Amino acid sequence: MNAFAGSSADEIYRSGPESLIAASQVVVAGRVAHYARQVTSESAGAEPIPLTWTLSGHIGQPIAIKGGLPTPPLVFSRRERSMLVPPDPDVPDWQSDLGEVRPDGPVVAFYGAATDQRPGTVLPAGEDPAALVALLRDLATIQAIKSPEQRTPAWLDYLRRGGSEAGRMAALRSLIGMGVSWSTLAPVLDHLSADPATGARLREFTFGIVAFAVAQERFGEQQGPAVQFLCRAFLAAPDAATALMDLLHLKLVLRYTGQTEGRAARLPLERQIIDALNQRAAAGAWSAELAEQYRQIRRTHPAVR
Amino acid sequence: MLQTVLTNDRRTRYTHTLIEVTVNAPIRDGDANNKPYYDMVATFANDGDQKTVHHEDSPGQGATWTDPRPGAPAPPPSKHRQLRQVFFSNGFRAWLVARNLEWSGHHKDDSFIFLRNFDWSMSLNVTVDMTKAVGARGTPASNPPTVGAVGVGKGGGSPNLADPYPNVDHQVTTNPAPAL
Repeated sequence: MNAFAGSSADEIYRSGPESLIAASQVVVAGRVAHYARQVTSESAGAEPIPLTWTLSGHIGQPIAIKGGLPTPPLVFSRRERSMLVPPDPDVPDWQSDLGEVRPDGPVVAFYGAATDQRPGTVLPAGEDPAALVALLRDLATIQAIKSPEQRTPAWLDYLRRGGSEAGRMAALRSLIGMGVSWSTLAPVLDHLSADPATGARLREFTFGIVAFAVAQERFGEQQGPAVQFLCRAFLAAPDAATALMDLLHLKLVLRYTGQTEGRAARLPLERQIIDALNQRAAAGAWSAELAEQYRQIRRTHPAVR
Repeated sequence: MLQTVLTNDRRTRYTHTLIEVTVNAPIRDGDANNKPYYDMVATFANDGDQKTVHHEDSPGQGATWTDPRPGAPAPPPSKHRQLRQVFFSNGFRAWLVARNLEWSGHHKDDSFIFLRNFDWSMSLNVTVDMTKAVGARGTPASNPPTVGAVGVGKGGGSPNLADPYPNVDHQVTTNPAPAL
């Protein structure tokens, strides 16, 4: 939720660049030309600073990522706001994190329809625009596969050997969004877990998206093996910080298993998690933050030691 | 759920500048899409229908590493125009409610049945050391929120149901400040 805050905690598991590509018939990369900025609000006080502004310009040197190139000139405008003010509730966090469009800077423009005169969204392409273009092109190529029977293996393959963390995260979101079965997903996740090259950020993301998917009953009758995966990952957490993040996600799953309606069916999942928590506790060497989380869990789950 | 922001302290301190974000508390929390609710609502389909409501919040406050005030003294020394402190605290009250939709059109404020309520707050006051690497500059790095006991019914106070909400209806003030 965006209340005086960022977005819903699970937004990163539901949307990303692939969502915007899927909603756009035309995607174009290029460089900003004719940059102009109009400040729309300033701070109060002795020395005001810009808080919100609208920038406009043309997209030069355009390259089509999806669809054909629109008829030039490729004119755009974009609203931006200072980091110092609360976030725009209409802009997803992953877009806000990209920062501001710079004069002459690289951008990617997303047109909802091929006939649109102006893009609905323009994003800065960051420090490595070539990498972003390659990522968006990869995502668009897989999305263009019409048959789900062929698209699913393409996403799985991209998840297994995708070049970037962002690409793998997009693949995971797409697969879970498509309703992929746990038995289909699990071998690739096991491969990623066992691969020492898998970074901490991707491991944390994988844990979180699986936890949210369990809480949303995305895996149907295969919830048990998915929770087993989470428990194994929690027990293998290499440090206290990782264990804490995993534990916060496990608390979410415990809230799901603890709901009154239909609780009996979820009790086996709860027992798996409690067993893992107790195993971890028996191993000792935890941080004060982990201990506090255990104390909170014991209030509702006395079987946790 | 309904949620009201009761208290707010958001200050960003640079070596020679203080930037404050204020709101006219108490103010409704949420956005323009689901007002007066904090987030999405569940609709009962039949008598005896049960719904599970999820409530979460993740307050956030951004700051730039470099002082955005043009009049701030420039380096050297290197500490000029550097981010030094962030003060970030909010207090909230949340209510679990059911609403009679038929009444909501003509008796808006009386159309709620207050089922549960609780207060919660968060506070993260950070000292920044710009000589360290990104990711290690803020101390402390985190601070857990305080979540009060869940009370039955409405409890003390009333939710603010008015349109303004903090992400849009806030004020930002920039002023020179004594050197740190």
